[in-house]
Amino acid sequence: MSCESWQEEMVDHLAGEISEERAIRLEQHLAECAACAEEMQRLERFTDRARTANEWTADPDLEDRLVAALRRQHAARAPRSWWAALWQRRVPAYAIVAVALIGVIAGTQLGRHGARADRAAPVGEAPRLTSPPAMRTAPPEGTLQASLPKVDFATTPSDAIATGRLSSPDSL
Amino acid sequence: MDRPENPSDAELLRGIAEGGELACRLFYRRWAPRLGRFLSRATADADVASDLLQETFLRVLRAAPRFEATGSAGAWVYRIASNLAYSYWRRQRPRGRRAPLDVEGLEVPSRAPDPAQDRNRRVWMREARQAVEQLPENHRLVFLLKIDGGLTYDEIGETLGCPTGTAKSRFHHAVRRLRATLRDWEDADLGDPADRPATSRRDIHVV
Repeated sequence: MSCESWQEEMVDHLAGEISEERAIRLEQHLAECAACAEEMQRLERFTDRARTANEWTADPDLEDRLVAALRRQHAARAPRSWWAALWQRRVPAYAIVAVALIGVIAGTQLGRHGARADRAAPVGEAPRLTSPPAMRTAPPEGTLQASLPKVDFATTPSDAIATGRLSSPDSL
Repeated sequence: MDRPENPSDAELLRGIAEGGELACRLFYRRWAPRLGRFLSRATADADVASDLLQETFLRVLRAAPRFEATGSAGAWVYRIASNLAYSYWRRQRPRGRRAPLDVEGLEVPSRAPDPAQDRNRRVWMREARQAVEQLPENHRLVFLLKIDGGLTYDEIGETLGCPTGTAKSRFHHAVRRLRATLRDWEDADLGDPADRPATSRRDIHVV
């Protein structure tokens, strides 16, 4: 095995990726080869510097912010009514806008239809309402009144029932 | 209910998924230092690193219910952080923005009372950061995931979606290239701890 191949072993050793069997072989070689032993020292110094030259300072509030976020997230996942979900914007905003837009368009269309019906009548003349034929002739005097009980609308229906002027729904 | 003394990452993520605040705090304290160092070096900007760290954890909170305990939590959480770092690099590239590398302003752990050593160390840090920035993105990520994240080759492969062998070869390549770039500094006095004796049997870490 060449010294170049042993370098691969040294890197794996410093990476903590070496088996016991390989470690023993590497130790034996380093004891016999001064050049590789020196190379090993340089490699160790390089990896030590690389590891320790990187300092990180923790954000002291981050842990609490994450716990608060977890609390919110867990609360948001709890089941609730569709109305509460809608109110808390779980229904996408664009869906609400779409429904509102459909309402506006429908309202506009109905308004136009009504305006067209109005324009069909002659200008300056109110649209004429015609009565159905049966209503054009009044019934003979007294026939309608005789067939219906006389109801005094000044009183409430329950009063009329109590005084016997109107039948109770139960008796019908 | 009894709580395990040292809950696993999967247990903490399950607790977070159920809204457990203690689980959230424990997970944060376990991972924030490593993720913070990783993002700090990946962005070379303390404020950006802080923002990305917060975003990483917010995504962890949201995605915790979907975490599958069969995978490595380390790989999972570093995948989130790596994606954010990638996105940051993409945003930076077109503008050609460079991270602020003010030598005097760099926070360097004081290793030696000698001002000359401190000064040397600051300059070395600046050059080391630039050398890391010049690595290809994939190699840079692997290097940072190993050095700052402490992930295994297997976990790096899982994080980046590449074979373990690829993670290993990228790390080796990154080390070779960085050492070549910083060759002039190898024997410089930066106030390092006293040089160690040649590696002995007990120093070798085994897996």
